[in-house]
Amino acid sequence: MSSGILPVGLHRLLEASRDDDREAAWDELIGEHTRLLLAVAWSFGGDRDVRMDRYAHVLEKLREDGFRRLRTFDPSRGARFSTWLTLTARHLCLDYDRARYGRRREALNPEAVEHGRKIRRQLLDCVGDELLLETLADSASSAEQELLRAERAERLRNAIDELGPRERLLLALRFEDGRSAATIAGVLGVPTPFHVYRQLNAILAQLRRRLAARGIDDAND
Amino acid sequence: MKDLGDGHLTPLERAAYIDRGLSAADVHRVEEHLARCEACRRELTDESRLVRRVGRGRRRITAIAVVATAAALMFVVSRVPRTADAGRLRGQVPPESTPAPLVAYGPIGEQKTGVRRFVWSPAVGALSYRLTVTRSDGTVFWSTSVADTSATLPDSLTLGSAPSYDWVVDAILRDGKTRSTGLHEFSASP
Repeated sequence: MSSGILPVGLHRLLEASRDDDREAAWDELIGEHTRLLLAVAWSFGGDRDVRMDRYAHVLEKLREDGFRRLRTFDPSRGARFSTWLTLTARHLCLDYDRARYGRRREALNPEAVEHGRKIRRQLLDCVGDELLLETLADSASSAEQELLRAERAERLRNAIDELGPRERLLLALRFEDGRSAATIAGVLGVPTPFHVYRQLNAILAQLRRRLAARGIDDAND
Repeated sequence: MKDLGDGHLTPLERAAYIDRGLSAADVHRVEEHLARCEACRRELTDESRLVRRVGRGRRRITAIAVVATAAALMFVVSRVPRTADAGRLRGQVPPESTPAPLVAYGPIGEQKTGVRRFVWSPAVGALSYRLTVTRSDGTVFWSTSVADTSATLPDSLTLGSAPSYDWVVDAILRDGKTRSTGLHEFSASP
């Protein structure tokens, strides 16, 4: 958790009035964080020369315009300097790779689209019974099937909208983004993937109850 | 620095969320946005993964130093003359051991008496064990790292009237991997 005050090395750097003091402070700050910056530059892959070029690019950009980027760090906002620096270095590495290799366009390949649909269908399947749809006859027209599917999705969307933001975020990470329980645990700060499964099951049970209640209310209208 | 722009979370907000440094109101606001915004979710997921990876790398360097020190100590200890049993065993090839699962011994299920101690099986090659006890809503009640295969609740903490608790132990191994007992539920008597 952030202490609310600038790290000593950063404070010394940004407040230095003389060039030699500034250089000494810069060397000290980078010395303290070089392992972190190298790890970020390394994480983007490539051969050793490319990785070191990326690292050099990060250092250059951090120095730019009188350390303009470093001056934007605000310790009162709740972030640790090392975390903020990791995110900053990551974006600088992304910029470097884009300038060097061009922007990667995530093409809408059919496999990715189908995978996304499968993930979203899983959520419908998890709460399907409570959507109280009439059993479709085999001979039902595709227009009828489409209408019932849309109605089903609408009921589910309404039920999800009534959940709290954390519950909706968990569902989005799992059923829209297709993230693993381990990844979700890391993002949400949940201790283990087992806790994620436990929370997901609780949310789905809650959705089933709401949809079942809505079905009873509709029937009484 | 790249920013997703207006209407999106700033890098500082994402960093603060990763560090769990936001107020409850800000967490609510940030999670409300993340639930609706795929772009911010994608950034946050990639960033939190990177922060954890970078943090693990730095801890691995520390762990390697610990292992090296332990190995040096083992070498020194091994030079001390052994008992007569050592002569009997000399020349025998020790049997290959297959990794045994990490087992939680207790507490599990309903507890008749107060719960203070958590016990589990040892893991071959474990540098340390991380015990996490959570309430039924998933919030962490207590977490500790130990070198032994048991841990006792500090006197300052008492399990309250929550319906149940969960606990899990992760063994951190020499090669950087982890093994887990999985989640186990127990309910504490008042």
